[in-house]
Amino acid sequence: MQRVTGNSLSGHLRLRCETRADGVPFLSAQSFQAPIHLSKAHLSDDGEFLVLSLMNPTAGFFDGDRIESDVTVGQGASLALSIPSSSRVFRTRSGKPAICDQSFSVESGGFLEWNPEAFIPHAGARYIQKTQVNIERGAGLMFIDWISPGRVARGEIFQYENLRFEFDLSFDGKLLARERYDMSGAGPEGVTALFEAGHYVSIYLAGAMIRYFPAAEVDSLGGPDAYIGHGSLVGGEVIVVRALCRDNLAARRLIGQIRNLIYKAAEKTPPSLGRLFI
Amino acid sequence: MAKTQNDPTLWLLQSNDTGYPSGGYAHSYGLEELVRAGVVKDPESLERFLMKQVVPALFRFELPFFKKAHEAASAEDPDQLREIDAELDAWRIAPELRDASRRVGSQRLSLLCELDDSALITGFRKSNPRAHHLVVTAIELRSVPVAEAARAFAYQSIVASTAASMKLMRIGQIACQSILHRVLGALGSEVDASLEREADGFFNPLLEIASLKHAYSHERLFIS
Repeated sequence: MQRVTGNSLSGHLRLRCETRADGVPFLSAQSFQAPIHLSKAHLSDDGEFLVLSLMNPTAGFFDGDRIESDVTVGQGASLALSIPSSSRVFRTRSGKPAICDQSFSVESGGFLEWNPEAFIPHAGARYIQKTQVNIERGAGLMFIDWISPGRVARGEIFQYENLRFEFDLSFDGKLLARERYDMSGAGPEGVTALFEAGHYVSIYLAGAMIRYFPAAEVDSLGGPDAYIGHGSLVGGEVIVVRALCRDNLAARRLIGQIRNLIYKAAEKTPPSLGRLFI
Repeated sequence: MAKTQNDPTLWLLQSNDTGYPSGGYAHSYGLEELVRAGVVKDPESLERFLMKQVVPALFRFELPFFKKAHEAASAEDPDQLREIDAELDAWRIAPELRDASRRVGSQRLSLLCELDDSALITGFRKSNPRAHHLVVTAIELRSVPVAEAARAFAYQSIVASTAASMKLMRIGQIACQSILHRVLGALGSEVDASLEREADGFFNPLLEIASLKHAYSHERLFIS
Protein backbone atom coordinates (compact mmCIF):
# COMPACT_ATOMS: atom_id res chain seq x y z
CA MET A 1 0.00 0.00 0.00
CA GLN A 2 1.17 3.49 -0.82
CA ARG A 3 2.47 5.22 2.27
CA VAL A 4 1.52 8.88 2.27
CA THR A 5 2.66 11.01 5.16
CA GLY A 6 1.09 14.44 5.05
CA ASN A 7 2.13 15.77 1.68
CA SER A 8 5.15 13.51 1.29
CA LEU A 9 5.79 10.10 -0.21
CA SER A 10 8.00 7.30 0.93
CA GLY A 11 8.97 5.04 -1.93
CA HIS A 12 11.56 2.51 -2.88
CA LEU A 13 13.26 0.72 -5.73
CA ARG A 14 14.76 -2.73 -5.47
CA LEU A 15 16.27 -4.37 -8.50
CA ARG A 16 18.43 -7.34 -9.19
CA CYS A 17 19.71 -8.04 -12.69
CA GLU A 18 21.10 -11.47 -13.55
CA THR A 19 21.68 -13.56 -16.65
CA ARG A 20 19.67 -16.51 -17.88
CA ALA A 21 21.42 -19.75 -18.78
CA ASP A 22 21.78 -18.47 -22.37
CA GLY A 23 23.53 -15.31 -21.16
CA VAL A 24 20.63 -12.91 -21.71
CA PRO A 25 20.26 -10.40 -18.85
CA PHE A 26 16.93 -10.16 -17.06
CA LEU A 27 15.47 -8.73 -13.87
CA SER A 28 15.37 -11.55 -11.35
CA ALA A 29 13.80 -9.28 -8.74
CA GLN A 30 12.07 -5.95 -8.90
CA SER A 31 10.01 -3.90 -6.52
CA PHE A 32 9.17 -0.22 -6.69
CA GLN A 33 6.81 2.23 -5.15
CA ALA A 34 5.97 5.87 -5.95
CA PRO A 35 7.55 8.30 -6.41
CA ILE A 36 9.50 5.84 -8.56
CA HIS A 37 8.10 4.11 -11.60
CA LEU A 38 9.90 1.67 -13.88
CA SER A 39 9.62 1.28 -17.62
CA LYS A 40 9.44 -2.16 -19.13
CA ALA A 41 12.93 -3.54 -19.47
CA HIS A 42 14.23 -4.22 -22.95
CA LEU A 43 17.42 -5.53 -24.48
CA SER A 44 19.86 -3.36 -26.37
CA ASP A 45 20.13 -4.01 -30.10
CA ASP A 46 23.12 -6.29 -29.63
CA GLY A 47 21.41 -8.12 -26.78
CA GLU A 48 24.25 -7.38 -24.35
CA PHE A 49 22.54 -4.84 -22.08
CA LEU A 50 19.26 -4.79 -20.27
CA VAL A 51 17.98 -1.22 -20.57
CA LEU A 52 15.64 0.21 -17.99
CA SER A 53 14.26 3.71 -17.46
CA LEU A 54 13.33 5.11 -14.08
CA MET A 55 10.69 7.79 -13.88
CA ASN A 56 9.21 9.98 -11.24
CA PRO A 57 5.46 10.07 -11.96
CA THR A 58 5.03 13.07 -9.69
CA ALA A 59 6.58 16.35 -10.80
CA GLY A 60 9.69 15.68 -8.75
CA PHE A 61 10.84 15.54 -5.15
CA PHE A 62 8.88 17.46 -2.54
CA ASP A 63 9.96 18.16 1.00
CA GLY A 64 9.69 15.08 3.17
CA ASP A 65 9.74 12.70 0.21
CA ARG A 66 12.02 9.76 0.75
CA ILE A 67 13.29 7.20 -1.72
CA GLU A 68 15.40 4.19 -0.91
CA SER A 69 17.00 2.36 -3.82
CA ASP A 70 18.95 -0.85 -3.88
CA VAL A 71 20.22 -2.03 -7.26
CA THR A 72 22.38 -5.12 -7.72
CA VAL A 73 23.89 -6.42 -10.93
CA GLY A 74 24.87 -10.06 -10.71
CA GLN A 75 27.78 -11.90 -12.29
CA GLY A 76 27.93 -11.56 -16.05
CA ALA A 77 24.86 -9.32 -16.35
CA SER A 78 24.89 -5.86 -17.93
CA LEU A 79 22.34 -3.25 -16.91
CA ALA A 80 21.89 0.29 -18.23
CA LEU A 81 19.73 2.39 -15.94
CA SER A 82 18.54 5.68 -17.32
CA ILE A 83 16.52 8.52 -15.83
CA PRO A 84 15.22 10.06 -19.04
CA SER A 85 13.79 13.24 -17.50
CA SER A 86 15.48 15.67 -15.18
CA SER A 87 15.15 15.08 -11.45
CA ARG A 88 13.66 18.13 -9.79
CA VAL A 89 13.56 19.07 -6.16
CA PHE A 90 10.99 21.71 -5.30
CA ARG A 91 11.05 24.47 -2.72
CA THR A 92 10.60 23.09 0.76
CA ARG A 93 7.39 24.17 2.43
CA SER A 94 7.87 22.50 5.78
CA GLY A 95 11.62 23.04 6.03
CA LYS A 96 12.20 19.30 5.67
CA PRO A 97 14.49 17.99 2.95
CA ALA A 98 13.64 15.38 0.37
CA ILE A 99 15.88 12.35 0.87
CA CYS A 100 17.27 9.90 -1.66
CA ASP A 101 19.23 6.99 -0.22
CA GLN A 102 20.63 4.80 -2.98
CA SER A 103 22.88 1.78 -3.10
CA PHE A 104 24.40 0.13 -6.18
CA SER A 105 26.33 -3.14 -6.20
CA VAL A 106 28.01 -4.76 -9.18
CA GLU A 107 29.32 -8.29 -8.85
CA SER A 108 32.37 -9.61 -10.64
CA GLY A 109 31.76 -9.83 -14.39
CA GLY A 110 28.68 -7.62 -14.13
CA PHE A 111 28.31 -4.13 -15.59
CA LEU A 112 26.21 -1.13 -14.58
CA GLU A 113 25.65 2.12 -16.40
CA TRP A 114 23.86 4.72 -14.26
CA ASN A 115 22.91 7.61 -16.46
CA PRO A 116 20.43 10.15 -15.10
CA GLU A 117 19.40 13.39 -16.75
CA ALA A 118 20.27 16.61 -14.96
CA PHE A 119 19.44 17.11 -11.31
CA ILE A 120 17.65 20.47 -11.04
CA PRO A 121 17.29 22.01 -7.58
CA HIS A 122 14.60 24.70 -7.54
CA ALA A 123 14.86 27.88 -5.48
CA GLY A 124 14.38 27.11 -1.80
CA ALA A 125 14.90 23.37 -2.24
CA ARG A 126 16.33 21.16 0.48
CA TYR A 127 17.65 17.77 -0.53
CA ILE A 128 19.87 14.99 0.82
CA GLN A 129 21.31 12.31 -1.43
CA LYS A 130 23.30 9.40 -0.04
CA THR A 131 24.94 7.08 -2.54
CA GLN A 132 26.86 3.89 -1.89
CA VAL A 133 28.51 2.14 -4.84
CA ASN A 134 30.12 -1.26 -4.29
CA ILE A 135 31.95 -2.96 -7.12
CA GLU A 136 33.78 -6.23 -7.09
CA ARG A 137 37.03 -6.85 -8.93
CA GLY A 138 36.19 -7.61 -12.54
CA ALA A 139 33.00 -5.56 -12.52
CA GLY A 140 32.37 -2.75 -15.00
CA LEU A 141 30.95 0.63 -14.15
CA MET A 142 29.91 3.88 -15.76
CA PHE A 143 28.36 6.00 -13.04
CA ILE A 144 27.24 9.47 -14.11
CA ASP A 145 26.03 12.39 -12.03
CA TRP A 146 24.96 15.71 -13.49
CA ILE A 147 24.05 18.62 -11.22
CA SER A 148 22.62 21.81 -12.67
CA PRO A 149 22.60 25.15 -10.87
CA GLY A 150 18.79 25.34 -10.97
CA ARG A 151 16.14 26.62 -13.36
CA VAL A 152 18.54 28.84 -15.26
CA ALA A 153 16.00 30.03 -17.83
CA ARG A 154 13.90 31.45 -14.98
CA GLY A 155 16.92 33.10 -13.43
CA GLU A 156 17.00 30.61 -10.58
CA ILE A 157 20.73 30.04 -10.33
CA PHE A 158 22.10 28.49 -7.15
CA GLN A 159 19.04 29.58 -5.21
CA TYR A 160 18.40 26.29 -3.45
CA GLU A 161 18.36 26.39 0.31
CA ASN A 162 20.54 23.38 0.99
CA LEU A 163 21.80 20.36 -0.90
CA ARG A 164 23.76 17.60 0.75
CA PHE A 165 25.47 14.87 -1.24
CA GLU A 166 27.19 11.92 0.38
CA PHE A 167 28.98 9.46 -1.87
CA ASP A 168 31.11 6.40 -1.06
CA LEU A 169 32.61 4.09 -3.65
CA SER A 170 34.18 0.80 -2.59
CA PHE A 171 36.14 -1.66 -4.69
CA ASP A 172 36.36 -5.21 -3.36
CA GLY A 173 35.32 -3.89 0.03
CA LYS A 174 37.97 -1.15 0.14
CA LEU A 175 36.82 2.46 0.27
CA LEU A 176 38.28 4.30 -2.73
CA ALA A 177 36.26 7.50 -2.90
CA ARG A 178 34.45 9.46 -0.25
CA GLU A 179 32.68 12.72 -1.04
CA ARG A 180 30.63 14.93 1.22
CA TYR A 181 29.18 18.15 -0.12
CA ASP A 182 26.95 20.45 1.83
CA MET A 183 25.89 23.34 -0.35
CA SER A 184 23.80 26.28 0.67
CA GLY A 185 22.42 29.19 -1.30
CA ALA A 186 25.06 31.42 -2.87
CA GLY A 187 26.78 29.70 -5.76
CA PRO A 188 29.77 27.54 -4.94
CA GLU A 189 32.97 29.40 -5.78
CA GLY A 190 34.39 26.15 -7.15
CA VAL A 191 31.85 26.42 -9.98
CA THR A 192 31.06 30.12 -10.37
CA ALA A 193 34.70 31.20 -10.55
CA LEU A 194 34.69 29.65 -14.02
CA PHE A 195 31.06 29.57 -15.13
CA GLU A 196 28.42 31.76 -13.51
CA ALA A 197 25.73 29.13 -14.02
CA GLY A 198 27.98 26.11 -14.42
CA HIS A 199 26.82 22.51 -14.56
CA TYR A 200 28.80 19.86 -12.72
CA VAL A 201 29.41 16.44 -14.25
CA SER A 202 31.04 13.49 -12.52
CA ILE A 203 31.67 10.08 -14.08
CA TYR A 204 33.20 7.09 -12.34
CA LEU A 205 34.48 4.30 -14.58
CA ALA A 206 35.77 0.83 -13.80
CA GLY A 207 36.48 -2.56 -15.30
CA ALA A 208 36.14 -2.91 -19.05
CA MET A 209 35.37 0.80 -19.33
CA ILE A 210 38.96 1.73 -18.40
CA ARG A 211 40.92 -1.11 -19.90
CA TYR A 212 41.80 1.23 -22.77
CA PHE A 213 40.82 4.56 -21.31
CA PRO A 214 40.98 7.16 -24.13
CA ALA A 215 42.69 9.81 -22.01
CA ALA A 216 43.83 12.11 -24.81
CA GLU A 217 40.45 12.01 -26.55
CA VAL A 218 38.55 12.74 -23.34
CA ASP A 219 40.94 15.58 -22.54
CA SER A 220 40.44 17.04 -26.00
CA LEU A 221 36.72 17.53 -25.25
CA GLY A 222 37.66 20.44 -22.99
CA GLY A 223 37.48 24.00 -24.28
CA PRO A 224 35.74 27.29 -23.67
CA ASP A 225 32.49 25.54 -22.72
CA ALA A 226 33.86 22.65 -20.66
CA TYR A 227 36.66 22.41 -18.12
CA ILE A 228 37.48 18.74 -17.80
CA GLY A 229 39.94 16.54 -15.95
CA HIS A 230 40.39 12.85 -15.26
CA GLY A 231 42.52 10.62 -13.09
CA SER A 232 42.69 7.36 -11.18
CA LEU A 233 41.51 6.72 -7.68
CA VAL A 234 43.98 5.09 -5.33
CA GLY A 235 45.00 1.66 -6.66
CA GLY A 236 44.22 2.56 -10.27
CA GLU A 237 41.12 0.32 -10.51
CA VAL A 238 38.68 3.22 -10.96
CA ILE A 239 38.98 6.36 -13.05
CA VAL A 240 37.04 9.52 -12.35
CA VAL A 241 36.18 12.15 -14.93
CA ARG A 242 35.04 15.54 -13.68
CA ALA A 243 33.84 18.51 -15.65
CA LEU A 244 32.36 21.94 -15.27
CA CYS A 245 30.24 23.00 -18.21
CA ARG A 246 29.04 26.44 -19.23
CA ASP A 247 25.40 25.39 -19.61
CA ASN A 248 23.10 22.43 -20.01
CA LEU A 249 23.78 22.04 -23.71
CA ALA A 250 27.51 21.83 -23.08
CA ALA A 251 26.95 19.32 -20.27
CA ARG A 252 24.64 17.15 -22.35
CA ARG A 253 27.01 17.23 -25.30
CA LEU A 254 30.00 16.38 -23.12
CA ILE A 255 28.30 13.44 -21.41
CA GLY A 256 27.22 12.05 -24.78
CA GLN A 257 30.71 12.42 -26.23
CA ILE A 258 32.45 10.86 -23.25
CA ARG A 259 29.96 8.00 -23.18
CA ASN A 260 30.57 7.24 -26.85
CA LEU A 261 34.35 7.44 -26.45
CA ILE A 262 34.39 5.14 -23.46
CA TYR A 263 32.13 2.51 -25.02
CA LYS A 264 34.12 2.61 -28.24
CA ALA A 265 37.41 2.15 -26.39
CA ALA A 266 35.84 -0.78 -24.53
CA GLU A 267 34.84 -2.22 -27.92
CA LYS A 268 31.17 -2.14 -27.01
CA THR A 269 28.18 -0.51 -28.63
CA PRO A 270 26.54 1.97 -26.26
CA PRO A 271 22.99 0.84 -25.57
CA SER A 272 20.38 3.30 -26.82
CA LEU A 273 18.70 4.98 -23.87
CA GLY A 274 16.01 6.55 -26.04
CA ARG A 275 17.28 10.00 -25.14
CA LEU A 276 18.83 12.87 -27.00
CA PHE A 277 22.56 13.25 -26.86
CA ILE A 278 24.03 16.05 -28.88
CA MET B 1 68.21 11.60 21.17
CA ALA B 2 66.19 14.70 22.11
CA LYS B 3 62.43 14.30 21.98
CA THR B 4 60.35 16.84 20.10
CA GLN B 5 58.11 17.13 23.15
CA ASN B 6 60.80 18.73 25.34
CA ASP B 7 59.79 22.29 24.51
CA PRO B 8 56.63 22.21 22.39
CA THR B 9 56.71 25.92 21.52
CA LEU B 10 60.26 25.88 20.21
CA TRP B 11 59.52 22.67 18.33
CA LEU B 12 56.42 24.28 16.80
CA LEU B 13 58.60 27.16 15.57
CA GLN B 14 61.29 24.85 14.19
CA SER B 15 58.91 22.52 12.37
CA ASN B 16 57.09 25.42 10.68
CA ASP B 17 60.16 27.40 9.76
CA THR B 18 60.77 27.92 6.04
CA GLY B 19 64.15 26.23 6.54
CA TYR B 20 62.48 22.99 7.66
CA PRO B 21 62.88 20.78 4.56
CA SER B 22 59.40 19.50 3.81
CA GLY B 23 59.58 19.70 0.04
CA GLY B 24 56.42 21.78 0.04
CA TYR B 25 58.03 24.42 -2.17
CA ALA B 26 57.72 22.02 -5.14
CA HIS B 27 53.91 21.90 -4.96
CA SER B 28 51.19 24.36 -5.88
CA TYR B 29 48.28 21.97 -5.09
CA GLY B 30 46.37 22.90 -8.24
CA LEU B 31 47.14 26.63 -8.19
CA GLU B 32 49.44 26.42 -11.21
CA GLU B 33 46.60 25.09 -13.35
CA LEU B 34 44.17 27.70 -12.01
CA VAL B 35 46.64 30.40 -13.04
CA ARG B 36 46.83 28.82 -16.47
CA ALA B 37 43.02 28.78 -16.66
CA GLY B 38 42.95 32.49 -15.81
CA VAL B 39 40.95 31.98 -12.63
CA VAL B 40 43.82 33.27 -10.48
CA LYS B 41 45.68 36.04 -12.25
CA ASP B 42 46.43 38.89 -9.86
CA PRO B 43 46.62 39.69 -6.12
CA GLU B 44 42.85 40.18 -5.87
CA SER B 45 41.98 36.85 -7.43
CA LEU B 46 44.66 35.10 -5.36
CA GLU B 47 43.11 36.44 -2.18
CA ARG B 48 39.66 35.45 -3.36
CA PHE B 49 40.93 31.94 -4.15
CA LEU B 50 42.39 31.60 -0.67
CA MET B 51 39.36 33.05 1.11
CA LYS B 52 36.67 31.25 -0.91
CA GLN B 53 38.32 27.96 -1.78
CA VAL B 54 41.25 27.14 0.49
CA VAL B 55 40.07 28.46 3.85
CA PRO B 56 36.55 26.94 3.68
CA ALA B 57 38.06 23.54 2.83
CA LEU B 58 40.28 23.86 5.90
CA PHE B 59 37.29 24.65 8.08
CA ARG B 60 35.02 21.99 6.66
CA PHE B 61 37.39 19.10 6.26
CA GLU B 62 41.12 19.47 6.87
CA LEU B 63 41.05 20.89 10.40
CA PRO B 64 38.34 18.63 11.84
CA PHE B 65 40.15 15.68 10.25
CA PHE B 66 43.44 16.96 11.63
CA LYS B 67 41.90 16.95 15.09
CA LYS B 68 41.09 13.24 14.72
CA ALA B 69 44.67 12.52 13.72
CA HIS B 70 46.03 14.68 16.53
CA GLU B 71 43.91 12.82 19.07
CA ALA B 72 45.21 9.50 17.76
CA ALA B 73 48.79 10.73 17.82
CA SER B 74 48.43 12.15 21.32
CA ALA B 75 47.02 8.81 22.45
CA GLU B 76 49.99 7.08 20.76
CA ASP B 77 47.55 4.97 18.76
CA PRO B 78 49.31 3.86 15.54
CA ASP B 79 46.40 1.67 14.40
CA GLN B 80 44.04 4.63 14.45
CA LEU B 81 46.64 6.74 12.62
CA ARG B 82 46.93 4.09 9.92
CA GLU B 83 43.15 4.04 9.51
CA ILE B 84 43.03 7.81 9.21
CA ASP B 85 45.88 7.75 6.70
CA ALA B 86 44.08 5.17 4.54
CA GLU B 87 40.80 7.08 4.69
CA LEU B 88 42.52 10.23 3.46
CA ASP B 89 43.23 8.45 0.17
CA ALA B 90 39.49 8.17 -0.41
CA TRP B 91 38.88 11.85 0.37
CA ARG B 92 41.64 13.06 -1.94
CA ILE B 93 40.09 12.13 -5.27
CA ALA B 94 42.68 13.77 -7.56
CA PRO B 95 45.81 11.60 -7.78
CA GLU B 96 48.18 14.56 -7.75
CA LEU B 97 46.69 15.91 -4.53
CA ARG B 98 47.03 12.46 -2.96
CA ASP B 99 50.56 12.12 -4.19
CA ALA B 100 51.58 15.64 -3.12
CA SER B 101 50.20 15.00 0.34
CA ARG B 102 52.15 11.73 0.58
CA ARG B 103 55.38 13.21 -0.81
CA VAL B 104 55.41 16.06 1.68
CA GLY B 105 54.33 13.72 4.45
CA SER B 106 57.06 11.19 3.72
CA GLN B 107 59.74 13.87 3.64
CA ARG B 108 58.59 15.30 6.96
CA LEU B 109 58.33 11.82 8.47
CA SER B 110 61.82 10.95 7.32
CA LEU B 111 63.24 14.06 8.97
CA LEU B 112 61.13 13.52 12.07
CA CYS B 113 62.70 10.10 12.50
CA GLU B 114 66.11 11.76 12.52
CA LEU B 115 65.03 14.18 15.21
CA ASP B 116 62.93 11.97 17.46
CA ASP B 117 63.30 8.21 17.88
CA SER B 118 60.03 7.71 19.78
CA ALA B 119 58.48 4.29 19.30
CA LEU B 120 55.35 5.87 17.78
CA ILE B 121 57.34 7.66 15.08
CA THR B 122 59.72 4.86 14.15
CA GLY B 123 56.95 2.27 14.23
CA PHE B 124 54.58 4.38 12.17
CA ARG B 125 57.24 5.15 9.59
CA LYS B 126 58.01 1.47 9.25
CA SER B 127 54.39 0.66 8.35
CA ASN B 128 53.53 3.94 6.55
CA PRO B 129 56.68 5.47 5.06
CA ARG B 130 54.59 7.53 2.62
CA ALA B 131 52.05 8.84 5.10
CA HIS B 132 49.88 11.86 4.36
CA HIS B 133 51.11 15.32 5.30
CA LEU B 134 48.12 15.86 7.60
CA VAL B 135 48.84 12.70 9.58
CA VAL B 136 52.56 13.36 9.85
CA THR B 137 51.97 16.92 11.04
CA ALA B 138 49.59 15.59 13.67
CA ILE B 139 52.32 13.21 14.86
CA GLU B 140 54.97 15.94 14.77
CA LEU B 141 52.86 18.27 16.84
CA ARG B 142 51.26 15.80 19.21
CA SER B 143 52.89 17.53 22.19
CA VAL B 144 51.38 20.87 21.15
CA PRO B 145 47.76 21.65 22.10
CA VAL B 146 45.47 20.81 19.17
CA ALA B 147 44.32 24.42 18.72
CA GLU B 148 47.91 25.55 18.07
CA ALA B 149 48.84 22.43 16.10
CA ALA B 150 45.81 22.92 13.82
CA ARG B 151 46.79 26.54 13.24
CA ALA B 152 50.26 25.39 12.25
CA PHE B 153 48.84 22.89 9.77
CA ALA B 154 46.48 25.53 8.33
CA TYR B 155 49.36 27.97 8.07
CA GLN B 156 51.42 25.41 6.12
CA SER B 157 48.49 24.87 3.73
CA ILE B 158 47.97 28.57 3.03
CA VAL B 159 51.63 29.50 2.81
CA ALA B 160 52.10 26.75 0.23
CA SER B 161 49.74 28.68 -2.08
CA THR B 162 51.15 32.15 -1.42
CA ALA B 163 54.72 30.91 -1.88
CA ALA B 164 53.78 29.19 -5.14
CA SER B 165 51.93 32.28 -6.37
CA MET B 166 55.15 34.31 -6.42
CA LYS B 167 56.57 31.93 -9.02
CA LEU B 168 53.37 31.80 -11.06
CA MET B 169 52.28 35.41 -11.47
CA ARG B 170 53.34 39.01 -11.03
CA ILE B 171 53.06 39.50 -7.32
CA GLY B 172 55.61 40.87 -4.87
CA GLN B 173 56.53 39.75 -1.39
CA ILE B 174 54.78 42.68 0.29
CA ALA B 175 51.52 42.04 -1.58
CA CYS B 176 51.83 38.36 -0.74
CA GLN B 177 52.43 39.01 2.93
CA SER B 178 49.50 41.44 3.05
CA ILE B 179 47.22 38.82 1.55
CA LEU B 180 48.59 36.18 3.90
CA HIS B 181 47.99 38.46 6.87
CA ARG B 182 44.36 39.07 5.94
CA VAL B 183 43.71 35.41 5.18
CA LEU B 184 45.26 34.31 8.46
CA GLY B 185 43.13 36.92 10.21
CA ALA B 186 40.01 35.36 8.72
CA LEU B 187 41.28 31.90 9.52
CA GLY B 188 42.22 32.50 13.13
CA SER B 189 38.80 33.58 14.23
CA GLU B 190 37.19 30.32 13.09
CA VAL B 191 39.76 27.61 13.78
CA ASP B 192 38.47 26.76 17.24
CA ALA B 193 34.88 26.42 16.00
CA SER B 194 35.99 24.18 13.13
CA LEU B 195 37.73 21.86 15.58
CA GLU B 196 34.37 21.21 17.24
CA ARG B 197 32.81 19.92 13.99
CA GLU B 198 32.85 16.50 12.40
CA ALA B 199 35.03 16.33 9.29
CA ASP B 200 32.93 16.99 6.21
CA GLY B 201 33.72 17.62 2.58
CA PHE B 202 33.82 20.88 0.66
CA PHE B 203 32.42 21.18 -2.84
CA ASN B 204 35.20 22.51 -5.04
CA PRO B 205 35.19 20.81 -8.43
CA LEU B 206 37.24 23.61 -9.96
CA LEU B 207 40.33 22.98 -7.84
CA GLU B 208 39.88 19.23 -8.18
CA ILE B 209 39.68 19.43 -11.98
CA ALA B 210 42.65 21.81 -12.03
CA SER B 211 44.66 19.25 -10.12
CA LEU B 212 43.48 16.43 -12.40
CA LYS B 213 44.49 18.44 -15.48
CA HIS B 214 47.84 19.43 -14.02
CA ALA B 215 48.89 15.77 -13.90
CA TYR B 216 49.02 15.55 -17.70
CA SER B 217 49.83 19.16 -18.49
CA HIS B 218 52.49 19.58 -21.18
CA GLU B 219 54.41 22.19 -19.27
CA ARG B 220 54.57 22.77 -15.56
CA LEU B 221 56.74 24.32 -12.91
CA PHE B 222 55.39 22.44 -9.89
CA ILE B 223 54.99 18.73 -9.15
CA SER B 224 51.34 19.31 -8.24
